[in-house]
Amino acid sequence: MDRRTFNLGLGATAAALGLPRAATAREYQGPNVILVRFGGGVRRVETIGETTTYAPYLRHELTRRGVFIPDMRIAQLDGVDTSHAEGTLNLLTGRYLAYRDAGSQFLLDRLEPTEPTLFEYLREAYDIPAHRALLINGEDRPQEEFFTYGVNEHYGIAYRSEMLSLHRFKLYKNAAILAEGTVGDAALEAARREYADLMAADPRAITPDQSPDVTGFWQRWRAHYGDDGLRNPRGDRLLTALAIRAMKELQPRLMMVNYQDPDYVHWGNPSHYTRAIQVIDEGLQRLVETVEADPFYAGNTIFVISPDCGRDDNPLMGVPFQHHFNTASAHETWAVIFGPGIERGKILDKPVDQSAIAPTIAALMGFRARSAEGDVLSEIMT
Amino acid sequence: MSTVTARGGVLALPGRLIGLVRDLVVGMLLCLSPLTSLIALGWLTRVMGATIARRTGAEPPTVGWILGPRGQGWVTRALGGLAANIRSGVLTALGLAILTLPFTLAWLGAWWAGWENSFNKGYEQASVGPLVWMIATAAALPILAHLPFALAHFAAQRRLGAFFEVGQIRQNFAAAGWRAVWLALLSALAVVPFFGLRGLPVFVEGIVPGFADMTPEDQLQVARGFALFGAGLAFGTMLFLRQRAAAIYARARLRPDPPARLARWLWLILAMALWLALPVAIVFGQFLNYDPLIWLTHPLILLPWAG
Repeated sequence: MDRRTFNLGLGATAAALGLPRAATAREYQGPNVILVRFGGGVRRVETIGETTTYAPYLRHELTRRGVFIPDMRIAQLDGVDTSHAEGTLNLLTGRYLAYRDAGSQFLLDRLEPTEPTLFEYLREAYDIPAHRALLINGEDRPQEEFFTYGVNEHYGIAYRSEMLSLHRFKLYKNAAILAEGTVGDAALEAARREYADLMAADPRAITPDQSPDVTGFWQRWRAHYGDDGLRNPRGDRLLTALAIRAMKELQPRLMMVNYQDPDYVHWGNPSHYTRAIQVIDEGLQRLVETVEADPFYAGNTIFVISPDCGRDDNPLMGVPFQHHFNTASAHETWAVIFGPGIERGKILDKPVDQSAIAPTIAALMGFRARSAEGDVLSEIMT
Repeated sequence: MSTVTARGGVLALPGRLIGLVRDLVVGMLLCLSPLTSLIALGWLTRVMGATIARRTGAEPPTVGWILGPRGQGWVTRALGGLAANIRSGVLTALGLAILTLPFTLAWLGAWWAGWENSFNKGYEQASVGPLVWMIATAAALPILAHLPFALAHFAAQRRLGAFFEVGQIRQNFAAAGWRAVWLALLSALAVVPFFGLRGLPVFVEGIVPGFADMTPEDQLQVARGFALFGAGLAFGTMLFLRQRAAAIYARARLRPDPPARLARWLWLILAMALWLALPVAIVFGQFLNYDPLIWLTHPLILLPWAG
């Protein structure tokens, strides 16, 4: 059975059965979790270096609030690559190589998870609607638009997360323009073409409609920022804006924010890297302040912050961290975890594998990530 | 250090081989830094001039690395070659820079501004960077096609103004006929190893086992090895290409009647198409291993320094 046939069958089954898992799943009472991908690809020296950091809020403030893991590592295994989609799926599934090719092209990797993601485990265990299990994605990594569900036989589309991104907004906007029919023929044709292109970018057999709650979110976003895309925040600041607005309007229980802009250093300008780290640091501060000011989140939210991968540390290059080509340094990351139930001011001073993140989040939220390979970091919990 | 003449057959074969090895070693060492590569550039231009003189029936000058000609005083004898190389190198670099910096600076600016704009998501001016790069490249191609002829003309005339005698240079290019395209093809092929050289350090951990665990001193040794290889490649390739350019230029000067207009345009278009390999390779090389200086100088168009 090929992937599309499998997905179609799974979708049809889920639809026919009326998504029965919601009837049996329990109400969720645990903490909220915000997983921040400090992507795309950062070295320790510019992020957690005591005196060399470009993320002072993270390094000097957040590390004190919880457990600081300075030596997280991506395992050196055959086939394990240090890149963004791979690292993101490692964080979401707790398992290496838990993905397969879904039509990659030159310079455009396209993977899909083959094991359940945290969102699927969570929604299988608890009665949580899709719009409260959220992925926030940037515009430069369309490859990660489609991690909302995997192709595992027991999970998949019925337990998917929702995605907030410009890609999704444009899908909503173009569908709305076409439905309203109030613009001229040229604009209608442009909307039809862009909508078709966006749908074609999804390699999966089924592209689930956005839920009514998310559609309402985009309706309000459009009313605020308009259609032209020139008024909303841009780059990684957009992700912060989406995440904060989502916390106010959708109240996600589990949310992953996929920051990415440090990866601009691939084109050679080192200041893009350091400035992007600063932008993420500011974003973290805004997210934390939003949580502290919101009664729904205050005192009941755990932050897990970790990069998708490290970067090269190549003394033979003018920009030693230009890439992350599976070098030793690209396997070196870190993590900062804080919130209720987490030790304060602790440094976990031992090598920790990246695959530990997913099962640890699962344990904190009260479910088990069955397919995860990593260990639960029980020593960080109070 | 002794001097050699560019005249073939003066020295016996073993002596010429020893001379060639010595020239390659000295040239390679000088090409390790941009500053000292000026001396190598000057020497290459003087050797070009000697080749053109020999092939056009004139008396070729003696070209040495350090020693000057005999009979003009001991200072000239002791350091005349070095002084001539420095003078020639500075003038060659100046002439080449005047011809190439207008578009290489535009490449540098277009790259920087384009990605700066992309980083800031400046959708409103997204086309500026690519447009500037394409215009600069369109302006560069006819200059690049004629550049070896301009250089050869300067080497023959030994006047800075010779770089800008457009009519004469175009006439020599036209008279060279298909050989101008051949020279462009050789240049385009020479682009490939320099592109590879940019990429080599990126994959050093795959090339040199245990590199990541080496001490900084050991890593420095590896870096020196890469630099030496690059310098050798730069000098050796330029020696070959400049000698080809000199030979083709000399032949063109002796040709009484230039080819028909249609053929001249055809050769020019083909040469320009081949020279497109240079900006394309520079762009992809920057994607692999960025260095802002590499926009401004490439062994084929300015200093024989590989970065």
